[in-house]
Amino acid sequence: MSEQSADRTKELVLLMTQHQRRIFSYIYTLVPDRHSAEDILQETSLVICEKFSDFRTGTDFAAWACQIAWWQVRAARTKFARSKVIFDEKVLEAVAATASELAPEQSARHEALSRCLQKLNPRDRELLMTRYESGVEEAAQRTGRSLVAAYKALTRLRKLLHDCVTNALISEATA
Amino acid sequence: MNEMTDNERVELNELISSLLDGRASATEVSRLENMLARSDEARRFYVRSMELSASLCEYSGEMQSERPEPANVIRVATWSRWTAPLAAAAAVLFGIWIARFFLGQNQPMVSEELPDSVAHLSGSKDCKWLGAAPAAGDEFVSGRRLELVSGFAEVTFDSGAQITITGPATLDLRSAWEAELQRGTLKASVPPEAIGFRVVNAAVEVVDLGTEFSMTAEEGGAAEVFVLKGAVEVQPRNQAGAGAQPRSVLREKQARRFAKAGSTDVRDGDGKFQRFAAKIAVERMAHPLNYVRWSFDEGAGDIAGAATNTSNGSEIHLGNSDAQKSHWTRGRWGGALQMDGQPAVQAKLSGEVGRGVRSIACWVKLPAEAQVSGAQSFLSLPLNRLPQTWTEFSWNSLPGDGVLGALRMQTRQGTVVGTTQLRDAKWHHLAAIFAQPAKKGNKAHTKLYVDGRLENFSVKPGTRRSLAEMPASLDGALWLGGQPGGSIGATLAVDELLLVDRQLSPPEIRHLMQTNQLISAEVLAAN
Repeated sequence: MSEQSADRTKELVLLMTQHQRRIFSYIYTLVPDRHSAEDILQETSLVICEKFSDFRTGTDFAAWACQIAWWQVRAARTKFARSKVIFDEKVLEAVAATASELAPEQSARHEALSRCLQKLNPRDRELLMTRYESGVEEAAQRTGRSLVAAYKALTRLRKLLHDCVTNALISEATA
Repeated sequence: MNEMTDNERVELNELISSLLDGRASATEVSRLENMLARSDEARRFYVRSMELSASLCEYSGEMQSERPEPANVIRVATWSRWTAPLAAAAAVLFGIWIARFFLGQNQPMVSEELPDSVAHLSGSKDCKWLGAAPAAGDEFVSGRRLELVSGFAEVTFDSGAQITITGPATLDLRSAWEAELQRGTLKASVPPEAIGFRVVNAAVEVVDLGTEFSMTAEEGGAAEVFVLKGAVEVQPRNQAGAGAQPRSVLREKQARRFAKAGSTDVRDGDGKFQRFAAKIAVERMAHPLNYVRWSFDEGAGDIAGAATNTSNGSEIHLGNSDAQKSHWTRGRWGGALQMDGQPAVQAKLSGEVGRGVRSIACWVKLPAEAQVSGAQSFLSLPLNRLPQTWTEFSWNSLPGDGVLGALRMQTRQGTVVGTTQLRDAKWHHLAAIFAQPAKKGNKAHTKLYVDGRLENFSVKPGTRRSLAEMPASLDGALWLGGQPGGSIGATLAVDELLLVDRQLSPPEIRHLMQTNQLISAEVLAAN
């Protein structure tokens, strides 16, 4: 590998590390199933590696990568019909546009979420963390809830966190 | 619609939550789609909700690792789909193109997290389950409740204990060393390596002393224990003055009933013994495997050949031995390889095993007076063909880290130190299993067995090593007897080194240790 090529590869690794959450988040918004979104993320990452020579250093890598992800989602829609990509074309485009519009605030929301999680009581936090690590059934079992109660609690907690994050950003903006 | 009503906001939140938890009906998806199509506010709320969930996916992985570590299991984080893009980029960094399997397989990597699986379903017959039916080979996490309506199910714990439950029965799996029988009947078979395995219920705690016993638990809380072979220690529970109740030992052909009122003889003991002694013929599945094995039985010359069922064997070139020293010694099975401080030797890994090692087993003999300052890794190998994970085995020479002379395994993310003393001039059987995760999305973990017994070990997380620290020469090669490429090696004898591309079960490890053979389908069915 030449020195120039090695530098370029290092740059790719760095950019991927920095932006993988945003790329995953973008795909997950369009394909709201975690495993399907992860599959598309894998495919997207391969295309990113293949096409990295087209990327111009100094431009917005995340936006460029999300554009590739968008085409991968579109391709998945053709390939798997609605089994993976549940929204119709028009809604998909509208949601993608909103996601791009909200991209600048994403990092701040991610950081604020970590502080909001600390404010939850331990049992609720355990439910959420187990849900995202191992699924709803195990989360319900571990926190001594019925499945129905766990679903209800998750709905409540997501809204609570959503509001907490929004309020945190408003407070920061006005501070 | 642009401005939403409060009711619509509540509904939107519920629809999104249903979608996230995979329980949204077609009607609900359609309703959500409709709201997203019409309202900018709905789209913004939706996008932020999905981003919040994506963040939670990430945070949940991080927070799990902050939990305290139990004594006998370390988790091995799967090289998850989540980190696949980075892995892909890293592969490019190393100048290696991304192979198909690289992104598709779970790739083990040690982390310090809660244990994942503690047991697996090893056999079954005519099973009807309450809820989702587990499949043969499915792994069970600690805390898992098994509710068998009818039929027979055999569960093999990571400790090596095997329990067959007869439906209707409810069994809670607490750890690799403990189960709770809520109701129904079980038959436990506990090999010497799993002595200490416990079965508890509301009325009694049974500690196995290496045996076969049956237990029945009634809905009302009473339990009966029947010792078919060997002996068990029993401790009555939940009784007035329970603390004063002495532990007692039940021996072969003895039975006892335990209830709140105290312990009594069992009615119709003979009839029940006869029933429990009958063999339960569960169906077991033999999973195919690929292996590479060095027996070190050559006894002369400078080449150690490998036996394999998958591709060309990988020879180990030992270098020229001088007149004073030989590479060969008497082994645990036939001959063995004697390493006396000469530089490490290597073997290229290829074929199926080269693509991903799930189990490693070998015999080692360390000198009783092995120099503490001379301790170094005696076996290093990549766990996958691409160089993102690797492991090094040595004996522990740092008393601050754990038992001096115990097995020490180092990976990218830290070090674990076992408890069994290896530095005693005796042969010890070592096995390391890099497990598959119990569920999709879960993380897998490593299990270590020393002399067939699930090893207790402590975790020394340390500094996570970067990919760049992996010895370059380790790419696709195994190094034996010292540091890869190092000039001075370890002093020890090694015998019957085996690499397998799937995880071996505790009975398979025991069989291998006792017979030097991989278990066959016939043996599996007969046991």
